[in-house]
Amino acid sequence: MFRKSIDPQVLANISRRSILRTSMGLGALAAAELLAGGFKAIAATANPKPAMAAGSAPDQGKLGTGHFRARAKRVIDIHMKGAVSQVDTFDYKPELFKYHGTELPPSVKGTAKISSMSNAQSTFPVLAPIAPFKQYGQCGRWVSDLFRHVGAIADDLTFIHSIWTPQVNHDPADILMHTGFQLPGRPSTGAWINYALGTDNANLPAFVVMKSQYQSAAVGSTPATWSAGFLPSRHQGVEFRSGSTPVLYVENPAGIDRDERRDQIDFIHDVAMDQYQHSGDPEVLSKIAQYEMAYRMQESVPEVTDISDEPEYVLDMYGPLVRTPGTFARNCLLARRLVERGVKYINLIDVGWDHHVAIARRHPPNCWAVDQPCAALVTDLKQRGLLEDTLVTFKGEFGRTVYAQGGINPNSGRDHHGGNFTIWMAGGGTKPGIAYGRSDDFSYNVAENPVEVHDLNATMLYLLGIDHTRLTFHYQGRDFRLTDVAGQVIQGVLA
Amino acid sequence: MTKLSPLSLAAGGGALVVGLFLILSHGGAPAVTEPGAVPIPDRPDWNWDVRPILSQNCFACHGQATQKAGLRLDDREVATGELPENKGHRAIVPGNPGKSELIKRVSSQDIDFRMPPKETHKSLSARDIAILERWIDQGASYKKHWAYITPTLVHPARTQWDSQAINEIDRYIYAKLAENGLSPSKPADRETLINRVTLDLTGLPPTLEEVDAFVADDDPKAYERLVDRLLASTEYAERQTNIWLDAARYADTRGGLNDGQRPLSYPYRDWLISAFKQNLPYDQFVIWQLAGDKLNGGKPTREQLLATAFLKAGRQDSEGGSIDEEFRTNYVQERTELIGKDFLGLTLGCAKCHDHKYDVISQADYYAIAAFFNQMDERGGGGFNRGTPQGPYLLWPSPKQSEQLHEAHAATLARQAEYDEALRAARAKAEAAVAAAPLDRLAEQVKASIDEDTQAYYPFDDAYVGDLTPLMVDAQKQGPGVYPQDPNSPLQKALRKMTRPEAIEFLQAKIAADVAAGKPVPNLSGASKSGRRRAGMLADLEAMKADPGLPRLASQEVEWALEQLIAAGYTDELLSDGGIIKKRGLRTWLKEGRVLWTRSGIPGREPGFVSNVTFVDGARGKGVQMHDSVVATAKGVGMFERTQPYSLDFWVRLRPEPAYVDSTRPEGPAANVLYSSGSVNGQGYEIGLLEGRLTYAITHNAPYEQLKISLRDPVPAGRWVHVTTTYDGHSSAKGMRFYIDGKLAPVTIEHDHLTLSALPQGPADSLFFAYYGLSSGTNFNRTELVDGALDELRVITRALTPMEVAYLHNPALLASVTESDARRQLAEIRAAKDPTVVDAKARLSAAQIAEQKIRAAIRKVMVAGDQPLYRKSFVLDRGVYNAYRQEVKPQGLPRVFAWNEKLPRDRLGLAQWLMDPKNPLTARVYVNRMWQSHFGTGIVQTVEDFGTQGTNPSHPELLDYLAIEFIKSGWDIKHMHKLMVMSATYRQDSNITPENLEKDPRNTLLERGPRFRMPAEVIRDNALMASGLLLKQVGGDSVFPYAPPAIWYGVATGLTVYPTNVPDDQMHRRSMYTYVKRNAPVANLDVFDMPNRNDASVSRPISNTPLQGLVLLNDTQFVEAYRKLAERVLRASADEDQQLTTLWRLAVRRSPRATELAATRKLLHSELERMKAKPEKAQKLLSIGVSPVDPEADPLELAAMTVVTAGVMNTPDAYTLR
Repeated sequence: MFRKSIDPQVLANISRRSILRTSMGLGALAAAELLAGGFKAIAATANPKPAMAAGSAPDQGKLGTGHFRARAKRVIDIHMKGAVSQVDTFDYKPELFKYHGTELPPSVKGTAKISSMSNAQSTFPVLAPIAPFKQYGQCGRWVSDLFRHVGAIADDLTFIHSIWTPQVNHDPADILMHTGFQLPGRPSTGAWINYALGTDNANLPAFVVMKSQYQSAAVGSTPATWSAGFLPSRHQGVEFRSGSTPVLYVENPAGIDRDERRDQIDFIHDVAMDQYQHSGDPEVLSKIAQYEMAYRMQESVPEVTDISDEPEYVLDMYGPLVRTPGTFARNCLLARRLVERGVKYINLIDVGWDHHVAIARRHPPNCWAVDQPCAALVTDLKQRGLLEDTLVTFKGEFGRTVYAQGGINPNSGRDHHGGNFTIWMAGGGTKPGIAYGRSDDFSYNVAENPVEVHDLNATMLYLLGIDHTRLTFHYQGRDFRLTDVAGQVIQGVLA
Repeated sequence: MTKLSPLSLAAGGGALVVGLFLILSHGGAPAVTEPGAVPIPDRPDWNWDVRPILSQNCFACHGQATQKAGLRLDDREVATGELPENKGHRAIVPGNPGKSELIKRVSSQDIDFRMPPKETHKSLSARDIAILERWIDQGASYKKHWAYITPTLVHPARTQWDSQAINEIDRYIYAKLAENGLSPSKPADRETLINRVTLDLTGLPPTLEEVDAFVADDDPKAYERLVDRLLASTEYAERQTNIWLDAARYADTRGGLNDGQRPLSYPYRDWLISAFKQNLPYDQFVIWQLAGDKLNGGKPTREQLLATAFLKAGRQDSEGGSIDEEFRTNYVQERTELIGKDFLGLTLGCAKCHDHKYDVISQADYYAIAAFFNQMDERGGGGFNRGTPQGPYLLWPSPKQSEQLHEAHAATLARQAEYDEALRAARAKAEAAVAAAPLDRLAEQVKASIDEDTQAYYPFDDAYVGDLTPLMVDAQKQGPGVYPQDPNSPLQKALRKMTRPEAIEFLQAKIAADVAAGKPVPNLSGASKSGRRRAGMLADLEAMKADPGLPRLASQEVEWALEQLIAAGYTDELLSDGGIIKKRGLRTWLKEGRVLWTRSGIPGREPGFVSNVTFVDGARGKGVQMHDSVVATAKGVGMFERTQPYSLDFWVRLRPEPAYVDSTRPEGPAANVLYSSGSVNGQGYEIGLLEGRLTYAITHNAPYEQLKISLRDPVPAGRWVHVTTTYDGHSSAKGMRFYIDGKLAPVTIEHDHLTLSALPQGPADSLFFAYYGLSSGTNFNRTELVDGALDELRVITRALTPMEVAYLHNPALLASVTESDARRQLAEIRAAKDPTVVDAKARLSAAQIAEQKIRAAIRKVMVAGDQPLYRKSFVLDRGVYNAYRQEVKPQGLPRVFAWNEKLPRDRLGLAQWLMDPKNPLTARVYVNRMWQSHFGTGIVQTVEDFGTQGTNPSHPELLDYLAIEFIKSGWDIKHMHKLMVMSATYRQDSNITPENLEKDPRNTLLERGPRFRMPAEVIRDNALMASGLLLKQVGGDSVFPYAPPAIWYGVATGLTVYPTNVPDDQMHRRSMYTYVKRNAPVANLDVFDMPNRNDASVSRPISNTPLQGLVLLNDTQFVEAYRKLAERVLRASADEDQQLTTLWRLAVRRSPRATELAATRKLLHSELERMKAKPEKAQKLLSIGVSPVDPEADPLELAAMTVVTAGVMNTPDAYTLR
């Protein structure tokens, strides 16, 4: 057939070049892109039920393959909204057990901005870690008992103990972490990456967000962290929800089955082509392409979220909660399934970590719910050879104070702390089994190799083959970028 | 192009590929871009011709930011001066292109010598060079950036099409077309035209009757009459309002972490509708919104005040750890940038941290604009007190409330008169009695009268240990280090239990019972507690049971569930975690379950407690020194409503160094001396310390509902000072006094407005906002008087007289009181205690409280207002709220448009500066947005940026003409809309030819009519209208149409349940009335680029994603509309072709083409077959949506037709403005 003899991508490129040659500038180029979309649309129609093939790339993104060799092809960003206490989990400071109840030395505390929830306190007694630490693996990393499973894979992980943030309220810190600016309105990391690199799977969104839904959440997520900001809105994260409709509106209405829907789409297609003949509006072609993708998503989304084909041993690896939809554990498993299918950026958000009170009772259940799934995700990716080019990051929007909020008593809590905290990464070209940077003996300030939020984002882009200073978008008279006017690639964490 | 049969095309996509390929490959190299094809302007203009060339090729190295080799080409003086690195040469020699280095370099054949350097991959075309040469030859004159030059009228060149021009607009458009070798399209047909203009002006499609009437009307004035009718309609006003709501970042919730319900939003939206309907001139429209509160000499009409809700419509975040001043500064800055975006088309935000890199806006300019908004009476952060805003507001009563308020107020006035009379009589009586009595033993009399009214007295001379163990015993069961990981541990089980079916069922039963009993559901944070909400929870719970995979109950519901379970006697130890929270009581401040009680100085009265204080030598006996301490009086002490008089009397010793200052809280207090207030809003009263001066505030919600005075002079530090405050219970700052060491002290009144309750309250058992009675020391968000000391705390239930205060300070002072003064004061005291006065006062208080209760229940709209005292403004380093640099005074942007010294330096002055007819930006910016709404893009495409980095106008002379016409018309908005839609340009056919697409892909030059995807709201409204479901009800509360289940869960801590038991017809209101929650965008509109309203937006992207198809095909809202449309269609005729024609006409407002009709028929037939084969499917499809199914219709036919209507409504023409 004719359509087999011409690769639509080639056609699209030819047409784009021919327009470029006329040097008409942006407008014509945009039209060319629309037309290119049209070609793809029609190519896609050739097979109404295309096989689930990662690799049929409908959108190369602005940069295509990036500025230089990519070590990571995709990202799983795990975020603990509310903030994990680094003191009780990954930042081992043995002296703290001794200092329990003694005043945090003023020389350590300094004059940094602290949350107004505890800045009225006049004493700041050290609260010892709420759990004992053990050493793990070849690297001998100390991890607390709250993260035994993560500890067990310490040799695969890259810890950063010296990240800090100027924001000490949840939303501003979270938004800064994910967009490079503390107020809503800028594009999020996932949107930037989608914009830059496009997608590897025409049948699924390139940027997927999943929030844990099973536990109480005093501090919830904010859509600003998966917003497209001023980038074209198609780059926004698509939320996968638990329940029977994983993507809003993906399910046919009652009484409409797949065949009927195909008839409708064919009808829309035919009539749209007729309308196109009449109006000459290239936007119509693009619409046809999007309807076809919608149709394919209706199949591919339920397929990817249906875990009935996962063997028992895999489920067991993720722990008991994986069997409950909407749990963090389930979302980890889904993340792996999405990664297998070429989704570029997945944001897993867990909520309810904000333990100002009774951290000793409240942190452990949260840790328990995420520890095993996190470890399982990394291990699962590794076993399938996917960890090599998948970057996994685990973080919160800030850390928690070493001092007790509300004094030392059974209900001691920890307040927000931006001065230093710990995150870890795995895969995607990071150097496994190391710890980068160091906090002071009180886990209160960065002692060595400070890492800014922008540095982290610069590094993530670097691993994806993108120069963070060259990934820009012109808006309101200015070239904006994810890393604002800052950011340095953290050489020390690269493999 | 090759003519192809459309239906064969769909079957074989390849053929089309060829077709398109042909267009592109044959259409290349059009005349328009060939050098010389577009003539070189006779007089090249800096802004239009020269600057774009330099900006694109040279400024990166030789511009404002960087000057390689010392050259900058954007500055004439430098560009024409001697080159620092090439002596004797000049880049530009005016009048002599041959000598200009610029020309030599850009036209050189030597690749190493040529500019721009080869690495940039840029080069100038021959035409570019020719333009530069001619411009230099003519003197190389520079101009200000075009947008900063006041518009001037330039008549367009004549063209061959002038005779078909309808108004001036067309002549400008034609001139540009001619210049670019294009020609206008033919006029659109009448069907298309009425469809276009109706959808455009009203956001709704025309009815078929309207279409038929217009098509049949051959009166040459028919179109104008149509336009006039549309402009006069309410639907027009609604559509314009909808557009303005984006610019006003209008929403129903606050945004941020909590994202709860804002005080009432809709009255402002409804005001917009009436303003557009009445065609309020744009200058008034803007002035009212920016400064309505200052009109008519500060006595604005209700509408003018309401308009200022615009300024308050932004996000108002709050978090537990937020610093009020930081957030307030955010609001001020947000409004500053709003002025740029909405009115000036400038990106002011850049100048928040540094001088603007490209535009003539310095950082000081930014803060000069900010200074106008820095006066507003508000605070940042969590400034909401059960619906009362933290700034000025407008009461928005229902008619019934209005009547109640009127009556209650009359009653208050009556009781006031009675009280005044009783007091007058009692005073006369008391004066007589006092005059008759001897004045000996004055001290004893005074002491007795004070003692009689002393409610509490704490000398702090001794203390003893009490035991709170019973309260804390639960908490101690689990100490640090206990962390059950076992999923079977009680704690784990408890967590999961909250969301398991049995808990859900329990809740469901409980809520159902509450709903049945008409009770409000307790403790749902920040939310309207209406039945709607409760039913929403019920529906969500129902959905959760049906679909176990749905999101579980979110935080507030879990908290609430805990309470309900405990209240219901679920004492299972599984709930101990929640149980402890609730029972914690005084919780963490108390050490180890033990507490020090301090005895009352009045025998028999309850002790207070102190914790973590140091006992020091006091003013008398021992005093307490504070350090992470708590001092709290006994329960009920010092708890006063604003109607009650009282006095506080105590000694305080401030630490000398460091002084109590807190740079994070410039509004203070830097320390709390005494407070009787619980909630974070500070309801109650507080004596604080700011910059060494004591302040005394009685507050409902700061700063607006607050009485506040401050001492003029600082209090001496390092020694015991005797402080007495008195308040007369009359809700006025004039009735508040400070006495220092027994003497009346001069004060400044900072706020004097209190009409709502100041009774301290707050839960006694919460981490946040707890109320422990009259206290000093640490508490959540309170700044303690660290290292300060307190002594001799006394609370008196009456406003003491000066003589009494003097006595408390030192009885010997009584000697200096004159006899007449003593008698007068004794009489005053006696009169105040007279039973008739006490009685009258009680009745007055009751009336005031009754009125207050009504007032509190009335919904409120936030409006703008300035604080009484001028607040200085400063440049803030990098925008940080407390990083003050030099002071600035309020004014406009001097280098964009000079400030007029006659203008007041307040928001009114700012608004007048904006609306000055000579202001170069205001009119241009708005006509450009109007243009955008009609044509899809603006004349300046970057509608939010008219600065040097924005795009140049495609038709600068037209833009100026429109701006001048707008001002000349008296800022007449309807006049401008009419001018635009009357133009021949607007009325052109919008079909695209390959040639047009090639030459003008974005239709910038308007050689064809507008064509773009409908805006989100119009798409939905169009479907509702086609189906006949649309309920045209104007204004009022926002509505909650269909939304996916659990759509609000997990995005915020407040408002987590989407209300669902909406009256059926409210599902079908226009989309602009849909409730907007900032953190959870309206799901089916968001997909079509409705902004989330966190920020203002003046231009929406037009995206195209697969999710759009999913919404249009699957959303209940649309599927229901397709069914109703199918019913209409089936009712219209018995003939199938007639039915399908009606369908097309209703959906697209034109008759189907033969091919379309054939395709539709084919789909209908195949669907009928399917439905007949599986009738149960038909039933399911018909059951979607709340509206009843037409009983006359055959279910199978109706179902099949519904599939078909869905298909037609999903074809591009059905949701494209064309």
